[in-house]
Amino acid sequence: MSEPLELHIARKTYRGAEGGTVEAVRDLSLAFDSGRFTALIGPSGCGKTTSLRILAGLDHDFEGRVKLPADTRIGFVFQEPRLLPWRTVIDNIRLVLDAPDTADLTPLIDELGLSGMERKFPTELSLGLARRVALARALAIAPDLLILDEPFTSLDETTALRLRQMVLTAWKRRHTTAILVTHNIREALQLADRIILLAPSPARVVADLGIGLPQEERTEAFVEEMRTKMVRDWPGLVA
Amino acid sequence: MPMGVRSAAGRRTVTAGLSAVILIGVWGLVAAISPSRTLPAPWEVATALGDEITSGRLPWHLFCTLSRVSAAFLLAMSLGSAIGIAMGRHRAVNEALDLWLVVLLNLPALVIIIMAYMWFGLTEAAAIGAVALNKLPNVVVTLREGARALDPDLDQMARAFRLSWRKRMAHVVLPQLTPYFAASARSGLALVWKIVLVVELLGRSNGIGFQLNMFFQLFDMASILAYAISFVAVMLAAEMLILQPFERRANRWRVRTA
Repeated sequence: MSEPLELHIARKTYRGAEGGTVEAVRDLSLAFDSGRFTALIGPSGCGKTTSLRILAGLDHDFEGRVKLPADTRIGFVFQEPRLLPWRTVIDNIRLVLDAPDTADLTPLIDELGLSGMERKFPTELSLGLARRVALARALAIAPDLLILDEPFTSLDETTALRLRQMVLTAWKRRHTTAILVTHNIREALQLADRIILLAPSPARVVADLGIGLPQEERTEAFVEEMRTKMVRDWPGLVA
Repeated sequence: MPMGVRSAAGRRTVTAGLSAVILIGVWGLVAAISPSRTLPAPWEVATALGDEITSGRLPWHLFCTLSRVSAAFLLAMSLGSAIGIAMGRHRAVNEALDLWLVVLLNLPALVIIIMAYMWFGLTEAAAIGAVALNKLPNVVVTLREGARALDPDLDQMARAFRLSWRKRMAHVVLPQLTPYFAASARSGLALVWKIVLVVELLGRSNGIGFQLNMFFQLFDMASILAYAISFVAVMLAAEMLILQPFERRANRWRVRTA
């Protein structure tokens, strides 16, 4: 996959509760370079999740176009883990594989610190563990495109930090195209090498920043400095 | 806590057994105080039951009835589930079939049976079809509710990972419907066997329903009770040995609270 992925949404509306239509996105164009880790940042309701769903082909009810090779393998990590509660951890991961019987999942399970959990059911897991399983499921298919839709919300900072490290390691190894949607500017600054800032109603791109420094060299001071600068330049959009 | 579960189950068995013993005791007492042809004593029923079993009549008629019950049950469950799931998932299907569903739901069992016999003759297919058609709308309604309650988030997950239709059905949709299957199987089995007896009474020459009708003509209450009791026993066994273990297995992932 060397061609960039392109997404153009001319108009996306939802049916409102009272029968009218609510416009979620208008005239939004995004391109994602292959092999890069892009973060989308913007306030709630600016159409980030909607855009990702359209990109992943989960929503066809919109005006616009998506340029994405038909055979793209998409690993999707949702806002909630979305595991099947009647399947064990390992069976949840195996479900999405094309050849579940021949795949060796041990390295992935080890990498995400899930060894010993394979036979547990999702209801027996903490949210942090369930999110790890959801991440393992997305990575297990060796995706061409990894979509992370606020994958670390409502986790304590230590757990979130560990999970971010895991994502980074996995991404570095496979060099997939990755898109992360988040509210958390620190998270974006730790993970992404490109940050797109979105403004709401209608969603539009406010800024498109590249971060040249490799992820492993970004110190806490660097992240803080960048954040302060962004808060100053785009108050109200970045917190 | 396997120990706690076992002792609770043991207590349940003891209580159920005790209440059965008391019932038979009261029955015997009443029959002894006021002897009547319409209320034979328990031992008379037991004798009739023994005769019918050793002669091979009861096993044969039981077999006939059970075959009809299972055929009608399977037909109604599979067809009704497919229709119900389709109606719950697709608005157009629901709108097209809703009126038929309401008609079928409100059509008395007897009307369906008589119409089936008059149109298709006193045949086995008409009998089983009529029973299945009586059960069908209930399965459709239950499974339609189940399909409406399906989790859209899991559906989206399945589509994001490009799961095949088969995988989506087998591993995402059907497991969510297990409680609805169990509910309609429960009420279904009870309904089906009752209607099978009516069908046999009206138009078959074997089966429990046919026998009951014959004993009714002879005013032989002991034999009627013998047949009724043996049939209830069989259905109770089906419930405990097939339905309940299936339900337990399907639900083993649910949180076990200590």
